[in-house]
Amino acid sequence: MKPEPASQAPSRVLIVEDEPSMRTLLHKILAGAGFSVEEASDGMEGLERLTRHEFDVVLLDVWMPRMNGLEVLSELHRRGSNQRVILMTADHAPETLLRAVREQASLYISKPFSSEELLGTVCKVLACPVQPAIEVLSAKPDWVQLLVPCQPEVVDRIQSFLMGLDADLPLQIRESLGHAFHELLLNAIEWGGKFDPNLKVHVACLRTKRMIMYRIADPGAGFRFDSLKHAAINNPEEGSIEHLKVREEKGLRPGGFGILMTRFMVDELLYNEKQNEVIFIKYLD
Amino acid sequence: MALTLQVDSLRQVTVIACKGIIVFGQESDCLRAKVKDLLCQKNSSSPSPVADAAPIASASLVLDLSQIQYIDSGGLGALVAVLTSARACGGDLRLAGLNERVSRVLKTTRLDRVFRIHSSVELAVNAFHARATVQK
Repeated sequence: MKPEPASQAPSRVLIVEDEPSMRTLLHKILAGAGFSVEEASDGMEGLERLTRHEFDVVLLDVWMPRMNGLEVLSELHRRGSNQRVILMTADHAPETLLRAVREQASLYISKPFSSEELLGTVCKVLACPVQPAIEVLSAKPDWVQLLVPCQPEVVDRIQSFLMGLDADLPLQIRESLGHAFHELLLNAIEWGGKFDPNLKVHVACLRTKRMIMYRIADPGAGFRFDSLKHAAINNPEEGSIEHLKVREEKGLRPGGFGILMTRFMVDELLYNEKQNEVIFIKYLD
Repeated sequence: MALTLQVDSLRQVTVIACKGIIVFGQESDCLRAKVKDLLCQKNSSSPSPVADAAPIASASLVLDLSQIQYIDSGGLGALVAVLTSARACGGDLRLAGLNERVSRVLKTTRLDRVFRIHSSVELAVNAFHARATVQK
């Protein structure tokens, strides 16, 4: 996958990675895709370069000598920097991922990854010029609570970190959780928050031995299922796309399958009375 | 953007090979825009029939989804929009090469009853020709 060709100068990428062979490989992939690439061999050198030069995105390893990636993130956060940073790690420890969210890492990419995944992730981060700030209310691995702005870019970002927390689960469960979360968070941000970055959605993820539960609460007025004529959940048995006619009449984008899809991906799906809060549960046994 | 599209022609049928994910945002928009462009081009040019073969409607499209990892709600909406556009131009859209994950999403949303789905691009193209022969 090639990045969209930029009309101006190529985007500048800084690789901060202590493993020379990995650094060389990343450099080759990124330069081959048209990026302007610089390297640093540890966190300290990376921070020095970031102090002196501007980069569009940083690829940051976690465990490095002298100064590790999390310390670099903390220092950037302390300085009030809006630097976009992609964290690269094989370390799926919840503490690592949650600290990365707290320190405002843009995205997380799990090692090992393909060149396509790498370029896709870099392009995704570059496509979002202003990184939405995520507030971490609780960063316990079994109780994560976040406050996120109503911006579509935030969905992939939160999803990449929260799904990293479930790396020990079977792929099918992780996918179901990820897809359900994606649909319901997007619904909350689009319908509840109207894509207004000043409004926030509460996200909580609780994990016990036997289940994972997500709660998403949006700032909207809620809705009624029987009035959701623009959603596939209300289609008659024989009409799978009836709701799309309603969406077209209302000038809405094609879609409306989210709740229907989610119902089949999770074990429990519950809305509160106003229906601006939703909980979904996946049982693990 | 996490979707790449490659357009090819196979026995008068336009085949769009999709790679990546089809989700709300740039990816869905890009797919719809690409098909719109192709349908506009097709409308402005007459079909070039193969000798001894029944002519295929110019808006005959196959989406090769064999390299699609995931489709979300917005992506499904884009697929239906593409289908509607093709049929509005007198043609049709067939889906080919769905993996288990994508098949499950289509079944869950009952869209497997809306789309004509084939296990391979070859079979999808054959189906267009078989239909054209019957209508001849």
